Amino acid sequence: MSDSAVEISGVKKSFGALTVLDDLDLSVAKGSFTSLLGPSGCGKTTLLNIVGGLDRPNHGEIRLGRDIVYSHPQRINLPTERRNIGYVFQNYALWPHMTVLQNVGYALKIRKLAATERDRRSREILDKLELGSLAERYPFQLSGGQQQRVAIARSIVYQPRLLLLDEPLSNLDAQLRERARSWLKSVHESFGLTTILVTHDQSEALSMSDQVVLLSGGHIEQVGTPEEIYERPRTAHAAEFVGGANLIAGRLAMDGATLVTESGMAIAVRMPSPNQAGAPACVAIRPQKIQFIDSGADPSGHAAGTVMSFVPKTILYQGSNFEIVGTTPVGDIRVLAERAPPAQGCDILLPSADCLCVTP
Amino acid sequence: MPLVVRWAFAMLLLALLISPILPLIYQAFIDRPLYESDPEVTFDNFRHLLKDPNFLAACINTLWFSVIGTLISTFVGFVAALMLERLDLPFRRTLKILFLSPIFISALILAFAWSMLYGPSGYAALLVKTSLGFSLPNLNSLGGMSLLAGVSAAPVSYLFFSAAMRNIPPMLEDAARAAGASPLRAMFDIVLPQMRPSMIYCLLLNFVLKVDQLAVPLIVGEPARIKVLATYLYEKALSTKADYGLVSATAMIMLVMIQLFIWMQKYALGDVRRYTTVGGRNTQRALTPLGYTGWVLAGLLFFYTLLTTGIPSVFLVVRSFCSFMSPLVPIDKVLTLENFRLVFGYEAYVRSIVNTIVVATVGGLGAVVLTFASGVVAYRSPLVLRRVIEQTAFIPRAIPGMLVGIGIFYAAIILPGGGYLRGSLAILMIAFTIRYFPSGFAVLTPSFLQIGEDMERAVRVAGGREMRAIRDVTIPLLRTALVGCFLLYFVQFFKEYAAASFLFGPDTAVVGTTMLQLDMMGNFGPVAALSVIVMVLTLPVAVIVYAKD
Repeated sequence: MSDSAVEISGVKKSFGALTVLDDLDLSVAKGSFTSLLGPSGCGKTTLLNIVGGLDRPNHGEIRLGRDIVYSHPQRINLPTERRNIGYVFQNYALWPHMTVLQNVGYALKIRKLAATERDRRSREILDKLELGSLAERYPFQLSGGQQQRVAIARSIVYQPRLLLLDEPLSNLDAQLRERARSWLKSVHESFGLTTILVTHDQSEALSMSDQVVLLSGGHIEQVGTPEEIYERPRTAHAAEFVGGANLIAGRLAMDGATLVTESGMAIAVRMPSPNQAGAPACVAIRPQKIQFIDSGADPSGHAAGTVMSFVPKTILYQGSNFEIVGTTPVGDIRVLAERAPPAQGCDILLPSADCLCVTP
Repeated sequence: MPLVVRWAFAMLLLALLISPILPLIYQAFIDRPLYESDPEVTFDNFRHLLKDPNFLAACINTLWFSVIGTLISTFVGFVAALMLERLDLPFRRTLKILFLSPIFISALILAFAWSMLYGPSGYAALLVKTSLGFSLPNLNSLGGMSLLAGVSAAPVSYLFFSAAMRNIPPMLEDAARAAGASPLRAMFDIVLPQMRPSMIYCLLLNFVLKVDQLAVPLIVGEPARIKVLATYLYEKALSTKADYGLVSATAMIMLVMIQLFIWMQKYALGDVRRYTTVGGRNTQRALTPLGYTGWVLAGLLFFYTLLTTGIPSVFLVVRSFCSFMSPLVPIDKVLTLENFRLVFGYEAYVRSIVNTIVVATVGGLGAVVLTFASGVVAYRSPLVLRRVIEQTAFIPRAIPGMLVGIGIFYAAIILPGGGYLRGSLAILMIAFTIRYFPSGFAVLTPSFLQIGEDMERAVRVAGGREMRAIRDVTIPLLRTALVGCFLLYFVQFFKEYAAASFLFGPDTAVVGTTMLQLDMMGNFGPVAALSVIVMVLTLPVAVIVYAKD
């Protein structure tokens, strides 16, 4: 317990009749990088704001380290400024009337550091983040990427116990975002700050985090390492949101390792489900795992799996590969392949090793 | 519409809006009235002016009056905006409307009410003296004038600051809080500096309004023989043997004073981009809840509105039904309908009411059409033209209303056909339109920018012509803004008296000028009655214009 930086238990938040967060529990380890991942409206920013004290939940308890910062039963709600956190806003919220140096030094000024010490520390952090030459500029004189870095410098200069990031990369263009991602990760590693990032971008969450929290509709869908979330999604929603898997609905057969679709087709899955036979379930398979095979080819020539017919409907050429949507006996299936299938159709193979059984 | 037509329109608009200034400049530097032939260029007008001790006294008074009035208005407006926009006060909306009410009532009527109530021989002054034994500070003083002018302009400052506060994204404050600042500290370090441009601009606007202020110095200052530039000019321009050169020279000094202030404002502001947030959604900030303190603050604010506008306007209504009012005489002895009978029985007064309604509606409609056309030309044309129109539209902001009146009068003297114009209501409508064009344009502009050009382009793509696109798409979409623009013109035209003072003839008096004349003659009963009539006619419209959100 002592090595957790954030402990959230039983947190609820609603606006009138609308429930935004429903009875949430979450623990964030000290020094870790945690991502709150989910589609817009899933409550991820609300959760971040609640941790930061910018929003107030209706129920539950939140601890930062050993301190209780919010407790409904004990009527505690520590205001933001007394939580000692760093917060990077989506639009950075740099104070436009202050120079970069003043922006960075402001928190130190509040903490009553002498001017010389304040400047020294501000410049030190600016130099570390390669912003030293921009110290005298105003925010409007900075590019988007520079603003983002100043925003980070501003929120870590006073060594907060926790850094909260609200989609800090979403305002950057695609190329810059790639670079900012590795930069952000290296900042996290060199400063060792416990960091919580809100994002709707799965590759952002997977590439930077130690822990990914998948949120949906105000509750936690799944928590785990990036590998767990990607390789072993537990629910249909998780499989679909992270990795864009195809979903085939059906019911579990007696052996638990086969799923029978409504049309009566049996699909073998990788691991037997602990659920009862007859329970509704889904097969999730990622589009890049599906293989095209020639109709009537030798079944022993390819991996074990389920074979079904496939008639292409739309074919999108994407440079490195093709994205093909086609009709099969179990509904439309999306496939990513290096070559386009013949227009009249072919068979596809769903390898059992890549067919995951998930709860719908 | 071909580009030539658009440019021609822009040039005509420019000509219209600077038309009051040109004859004044010309007149200021020639040695005889501008309608006489063979004038010679001279600086004598200014030389004479500077020799006049009354003029110098008026200059100094104007400076004091404007500076003190500006400070009062800005301070009160700012504090009220802080309270009403940021704190969760009980009866917030009602308080807001009460606080804004001086704009609905107009400085002229408020000045009447104050002088009848708080003046040295006013009702409240006598009441306090007889029952409490001390006298109120003299209203007929520079301080009293500044206070009244400041209070009557406080709502303008309020509207300014409330808009500015809403434009500061709450996340800038949240960022300061996350960095460890207390709410109060975040307010001082982040919100206040962000408001610097609006603070400076508000000071400027108030200063111009004070230099332009005629009602207060005329009604409150004149009895104590305190002259400011406005009253100096008023007297000189309206005297039977008016010295055109002297009047124009005075006008020049007023204009230079204002230009100086505008230049100072630009200098003080520097690069305004330091005050605009880069990107960002604007979410509404939640009001700070207050318990018991909220009631105290609301009570204070209510008391302020009661003292400054509530009691004076109620008093004015009561006064209009009395032949005479004094705390020493029981009210049932003096109740009468005589004031209204007098107003409605005298043809010239009735005509001035009718004239005012005609000017406000017909003139208001004309002004809306002109504003709309300017908007179309500005926002559906190449960028250069847009800049030209925008710059042009705001020229009258820097011209005091009185100068618009005098300038148009001079222009009508020298231009052919001016004689017809001078005898008709049209000259009033033109002057009022010039005077209030910047406000009307400012109301319409955001809507033009908001609907964008693509809506009209879509009509063109579908095969409709430009005029058709404007008729079927732009006008319906702008309907609310157009109505708002008309109501604004209506209210302003109804209240305007300064420009009218120099333009009205025997058949073209308006309510404002009639009230001023009656007040000069000491007929306070009919003045009160006319004020009540004006309030009844304009209040509902004014409330819609200014208190809609």
